Amino acid sequence: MKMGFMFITTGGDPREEPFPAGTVGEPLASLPRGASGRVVSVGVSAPDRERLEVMGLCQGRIVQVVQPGDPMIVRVLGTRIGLAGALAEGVRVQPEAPPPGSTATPSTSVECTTP
Amino acid sequence: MHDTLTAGGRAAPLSRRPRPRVVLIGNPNAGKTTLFNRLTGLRARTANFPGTTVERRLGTLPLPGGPADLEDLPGLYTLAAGGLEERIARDSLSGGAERRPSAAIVVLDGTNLARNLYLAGQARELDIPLLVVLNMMDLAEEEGLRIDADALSRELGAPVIALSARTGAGVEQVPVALGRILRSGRPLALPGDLAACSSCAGCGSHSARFDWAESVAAKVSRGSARLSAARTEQLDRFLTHPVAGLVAFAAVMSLVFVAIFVLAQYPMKLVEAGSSALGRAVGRTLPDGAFRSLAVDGVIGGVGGVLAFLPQICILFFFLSMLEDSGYLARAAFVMDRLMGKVGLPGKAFVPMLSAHACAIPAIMATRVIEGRRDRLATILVLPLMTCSARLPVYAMVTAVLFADRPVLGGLTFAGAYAAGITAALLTAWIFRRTILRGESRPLVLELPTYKTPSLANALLAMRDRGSVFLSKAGTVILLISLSMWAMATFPRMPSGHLARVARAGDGRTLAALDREAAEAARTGDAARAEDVGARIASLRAPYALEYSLAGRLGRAVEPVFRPLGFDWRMDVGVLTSFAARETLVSTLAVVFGVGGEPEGRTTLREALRTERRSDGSPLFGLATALPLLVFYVLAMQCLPTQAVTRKETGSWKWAALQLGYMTSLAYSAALVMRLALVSFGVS
Repeated sequence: MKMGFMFITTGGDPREEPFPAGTVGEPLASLPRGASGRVVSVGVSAPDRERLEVMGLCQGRIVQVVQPGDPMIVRVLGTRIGLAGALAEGVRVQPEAPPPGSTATPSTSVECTTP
Repeated sequence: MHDTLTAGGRAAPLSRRPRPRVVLIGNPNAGKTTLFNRLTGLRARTANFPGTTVERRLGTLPLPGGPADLEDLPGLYTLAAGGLEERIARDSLSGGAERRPSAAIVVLDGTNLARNLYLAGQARELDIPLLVVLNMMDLAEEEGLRIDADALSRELGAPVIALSARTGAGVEQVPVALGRILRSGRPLALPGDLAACSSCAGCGSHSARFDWAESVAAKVSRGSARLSAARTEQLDRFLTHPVAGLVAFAAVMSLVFVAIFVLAQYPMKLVEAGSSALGRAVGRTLPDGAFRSLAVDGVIGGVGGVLAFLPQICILFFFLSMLEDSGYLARAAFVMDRLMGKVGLPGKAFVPMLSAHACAIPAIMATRVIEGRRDRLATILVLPLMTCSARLPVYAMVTAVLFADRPVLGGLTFAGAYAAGITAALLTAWIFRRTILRGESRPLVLELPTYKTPSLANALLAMRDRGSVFLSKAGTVILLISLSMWAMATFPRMPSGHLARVARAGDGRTLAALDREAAEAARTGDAARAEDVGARIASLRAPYALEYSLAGRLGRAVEPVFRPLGFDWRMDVGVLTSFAARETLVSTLAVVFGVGGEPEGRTTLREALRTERRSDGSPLFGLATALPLLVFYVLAMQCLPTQAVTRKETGSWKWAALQLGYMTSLAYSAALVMRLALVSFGVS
């Protein structure tokens, strides 16, 4: 984990909500091809957050970068999702080893999503 | 009183009982539509959900105990989200708007179980008996992916059927299982894990349910769909590449485009030939007068005008359905997203923009795939700027007059008109996104499904559905409008002695000669000659009759408005009568320049326009008039049916009025600039 991402608040883009102090993880947008990570927080506007959650891009899920760029392609729950760079920037992930199969092993220690 | 009612109710025969209502739900790309088509065959119809523009398909499903109504809900990832389609699906499942469904079929993509189970878990918590269909088993088998349907059935507490909607294998089990479910009439008990999942609502319900879906998928399946995933990723390296992907996109779209125009011309010619033959036949049987004119020009001409657009629309939707089924359409939206984002439109807007090159009406209907309301409004507002096929007769006329013997210049003018339409659309979209529809487009979140061989049957059914939606929604409006335009150009009718008084010198002499000839023919009983003379008199009369009509008078009245553009009153009549449908400009000009109704009308119109002079002796239809006219038709709304569809789709006349207002002012100012520029360079 890079400490530089610890206290980032995003300015400029009104769509993004500032991350709460202590946000950890790397932006999904900065992960290289093939890298995987577990989502730790989703810092985008409420309607966009819902669209991401519906696709499985929410706290606790494992995502893998299929193709970096803007827009990028990620794999979540066995499906490829095309994702705008602006959103991928708001999704923070904790890098992890890639899942063995197309379906990731479920975690039992997932914290509840923040309301 | 009460007793009688109850007794009557009990005694009602079985056949009077309402049919069971069964709804079909599933993720997008799970093969729901293919299964629906398999189950209902050709008996399906498309309708809107009450009070919305969201479409649903309704069909009859034959079951052992009598038929059921089957309803295809929109493809969904979740029942919980706040979108319109999710709300409609919830209403439909809870029976809020209509009858509560007797059962629901959940379609799962077997090659993608974890994601699909999320929705199945939610559906299972509703108090409706459920039949779970494990689809795409042919693909799963190819890849060596094995799914234990019995184990899945235990996890879900619902019967599970494995099948392939694409090949049809196993589909016959659905009516049997559904009949059994409908007879028992109540859902099974909810398994413990799923019940725990739903009680977790509010706090991390997404996560808990995704965990449940993943663990069930892992428990019941062995192996994974790696082969098709690898194949898809290989293709995607090329098709979603920032540069190569755009080249591929341009190639695919040009191919579709060319195919639409090449394939559609044959049925279009057939429709045109058919309607003119019918018009002639009816014209011969009816006596001359207002009624014949109504039947031939109003009704038959109007219906022919509607039908002429049908081939292009059908072929367009055939290709779009094939592209969507194959999985390519999502990639096209993906590669276009960043480019379209520069003018504030989402990547998904490219499908409507492509469709608008055939006709703006199906294009506006196709904007339903765009999620954000502002994104959708901006797209709808600019769509009619694309060069639809109704503009082609106008372009063809102008280039034929200006560049008859210089085909290269003619071709360049055509290409320039297309480019001008696209540029204007992108620019106005950019302006709208910075003014009244401020904001950026919704950022892309889009599933890129695995590539599959598209289904021909689905494409043919989609074509039929789209075609009938166009005919029922736009057809009636177009017909109504063409009837009122006919009335405007016909009434008030010119009194019989009027022509002799107002005819210009040359026409007057010709008319007198023709009258003598007609009398001669009548005397000798030469029927063929009498008919020929009658037709020549009619075509001589036509421009004067049009001048006398309401349309002609309005043309005279608005002359000062269009004079700065170089139009004379006869062109104004054309502009006014084509207000409701731009393609009528050509036929109106043919009438107003006295060459209408002749078989060689098109060439003679070209000659008439070329030789026509203004009162000062300068040519009427020179570059400095023709190019502003062309620019005007590239940019002007001039299509009332499109306006009606804009109103329907946006829910308010406000947007239709804005569309008309901005396009007309844009067209007028651009034509004026063109005229002033040409005149200042000494072009006439």
